[in-house]
Amino acid sequence: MRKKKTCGVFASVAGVFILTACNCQGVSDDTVTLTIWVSEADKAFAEAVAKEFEEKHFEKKYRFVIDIQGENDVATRVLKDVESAADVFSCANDQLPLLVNGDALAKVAGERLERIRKENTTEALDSVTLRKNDTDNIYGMPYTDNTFFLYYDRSVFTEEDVQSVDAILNKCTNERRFAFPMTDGWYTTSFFFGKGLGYRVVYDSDLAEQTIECDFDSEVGRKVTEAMWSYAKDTRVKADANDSKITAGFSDGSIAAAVSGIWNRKAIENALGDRFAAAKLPTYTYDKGNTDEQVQLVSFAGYKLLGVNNYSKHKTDALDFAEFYTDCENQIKHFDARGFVPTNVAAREEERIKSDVCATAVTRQLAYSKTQKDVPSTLWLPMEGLGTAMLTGIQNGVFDVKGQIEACVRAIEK
Amino acid sequence: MRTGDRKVNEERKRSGEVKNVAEKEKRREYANGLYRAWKYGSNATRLSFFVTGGGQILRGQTVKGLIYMAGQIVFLLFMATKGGKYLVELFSGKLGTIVSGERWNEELQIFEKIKGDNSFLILLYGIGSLLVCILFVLLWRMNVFGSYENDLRIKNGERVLTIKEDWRRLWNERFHIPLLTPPFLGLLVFTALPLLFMVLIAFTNYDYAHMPPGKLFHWVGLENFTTLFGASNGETGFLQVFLRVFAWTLVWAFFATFGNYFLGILLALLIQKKGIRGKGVWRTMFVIAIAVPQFVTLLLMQKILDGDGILNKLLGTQILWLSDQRNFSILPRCVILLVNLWIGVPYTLLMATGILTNIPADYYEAAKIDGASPVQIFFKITLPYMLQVTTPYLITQFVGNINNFNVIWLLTGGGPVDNVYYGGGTQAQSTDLLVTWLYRLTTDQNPRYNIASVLGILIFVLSGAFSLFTYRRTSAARNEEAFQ
Repeated sequence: MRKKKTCGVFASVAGVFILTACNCQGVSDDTVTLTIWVSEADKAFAEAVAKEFEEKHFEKKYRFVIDIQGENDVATRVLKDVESAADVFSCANDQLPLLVNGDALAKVAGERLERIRKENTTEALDSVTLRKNDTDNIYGMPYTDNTFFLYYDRSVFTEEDVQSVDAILNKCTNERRFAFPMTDGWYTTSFFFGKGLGYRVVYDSDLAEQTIECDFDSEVGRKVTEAMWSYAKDTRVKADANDSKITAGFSDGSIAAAVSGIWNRKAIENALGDRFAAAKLPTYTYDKGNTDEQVQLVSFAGYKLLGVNNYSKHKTDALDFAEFYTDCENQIKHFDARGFVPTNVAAREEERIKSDVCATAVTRQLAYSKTQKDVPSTLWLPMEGLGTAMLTGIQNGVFDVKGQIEACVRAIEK
Repeated sequence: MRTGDRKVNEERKRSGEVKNVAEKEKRREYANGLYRAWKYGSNATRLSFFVTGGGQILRGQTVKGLIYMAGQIVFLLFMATKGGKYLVELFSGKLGTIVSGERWNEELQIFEKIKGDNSFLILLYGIGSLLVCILFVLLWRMNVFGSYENDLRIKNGERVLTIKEDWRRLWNERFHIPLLTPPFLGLLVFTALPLLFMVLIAFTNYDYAHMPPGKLFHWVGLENFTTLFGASNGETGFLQVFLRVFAWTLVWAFFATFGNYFLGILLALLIQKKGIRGKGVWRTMFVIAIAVPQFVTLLLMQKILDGDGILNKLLGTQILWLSDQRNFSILPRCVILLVNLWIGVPYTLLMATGILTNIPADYYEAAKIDGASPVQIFFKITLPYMLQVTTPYLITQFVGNINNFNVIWLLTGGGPVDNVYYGGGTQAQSTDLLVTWLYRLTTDQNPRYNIASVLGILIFVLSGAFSLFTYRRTSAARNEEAFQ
């Protein structure tokens, strides 16, 4: 009986502790563990860089943990628990206000700042500069221009054709289409930026969004939406495109031209082979039937950067690694590995980068771009809604331009 | 109901009443317990009001008294060093006051972090300290009652228990204490503490602009509730969107539960029908659907129903099964319900098959002799029997469907986005249930944990109230023996 009771108590104690998972990991010696978050496609590159870094700093013991984290929602992941987030993470520069507001990014300062300033393009530096408490600070180390441009099949289109969407569509058929991701605000805003429309965000001293204004619903904006809708419903346009559908479409020949970013380069180049070509974005027809004005699509110019966690236990090492990852030599290596166009001035002068077809397209597109900075964090979901409404409209040919763009802006503004 | 049952029930009711009276008396005694101990207790007992274990030591129960005393010392030390500070911060209205800062380190060329207060931890540890206080009060009460018991024993001419006797008693008449203390503490730490923590977040401004450790958050009272329910600006204010999401949650839960239920029963009846050949094969075929993990089925369905998916290819159409916004996104909503049938029906089929074979065959024979039609038989015999047995199951299913995250999230992710009906910074989308909305509120670019917590409380109240209300009304709860 006594035994049974003892067992009972033991069982109840065990029951409590079974519910708790133990995470006991003891690294006791002087090893510096750095956690790095990069996108899935960059993992192999990051591992190679980490290895080199270890070799270069043989006097210290390093241990690298390289995890996959999409660059577009790094801020959400980091801010969830800053203290246990990665020491170094790659992110797009539009995430900066959120991260800085959450005090998650280490300022780059002192000698490091001078080096970064000297080596990178002013546009790239501007994209990582934020004004907090009335002082401008640099919060990361940029390593590539991140914008989108036109990929096309050289056997279908001439260089003349790819100057305007209408000329592209003239060579397209229902079986060989032009892909534009209409449900993704990163791309669709290019229609609005083309006519000089935009938004204005007022931040408080901590970089929290105070008010957001947006003029996409003005008279001009309505006509832009009209133009978007006229392309979306065109059967030669693949409006529900996304990364995987674009690369699949180029492989099976159902897509002959597409608007996309540098990260799809390898897949599209493999699919097209010799016929692979790239150019800046085309123009679109605004106010069709009346003025027929040709308007250049103006893309978001984002930058990718490495940020260092403000709460990292090894801040010095983390900053050293971030600087190493984004230095001239590694930016060139990154170009070789992924086709990323460098922000480092010296690296940009490299012959094989200067002559590269995509790098040229990116550089040309950057002349018609809007730096992805001070973007309302509320922009993306409503723009997706606008695109979804268009896709729905294709079903029966009905799309309430005024109602939809007004609802969209209402959802963006604050 | 048979007369025998009635008798049993009446007896049960009566014994229940007797029990209630006894319990009430006991409770009254307890309420007076501390007061009585103070008034009629000896000076030793009065001492233990202030120094735990004091009474026991004076009565010669040294070991027991020292254990109690150690408890008090540990508690006081904890309060003096940590707990007191957290409690003050918890109740001061602000959860921390010092914002973290930084200091330039010339040698390393970096800004070093100077740690500030962390509202998140202050809230957590504050609640922890509160629980420690409650535990101490329980210990203190035990100590007072123990001492008073000694008084009573002495008054009755009995001997005060030795530590050995106490120990033996702990393993015999008081065995519930060693048995239940660990699970009780476990519940407190792993269930009560997080739950309380999450609930309290609803009364703070913990959102994307107030993320610890960089920022502090503080109490805001009922502000989040007024955001959700208060006057809002026009068509897409929080209240309107909340009501839309809430309505769809109920509609979804209703159709998902009863659709699966009736289709499952019908399918089971169909297979069970005399003359159907290969019953085992049919059942196996349907049940195989269970063997595939649910999320695999759902992701597959999502691919099939995609704009470029197999279904559209087969039909030669361009229908947006999962993202057509027209008419309040009626198409995606129906499609989700249909996919849910595919996933849910095998479970009901399996269960119904078991229960149906349990219905006595003579019921059916008698009905047939009396000339009842199959429809009548279904509604008068099969369905009442099924309902009797499965109402608790239906309730859990309904509540489960209110919180059915997987089906919605893996099929549509809550989408399509509809600015006209769901905009306005609420972050809700067309096919969102309350629970998927809550999830998006915590994982989106602009997380709003406070609003999400309010939603969580609402979901809890909703499912809790519904379950209690319906369960108490079911015949399954009221007369358990009726169908034996």
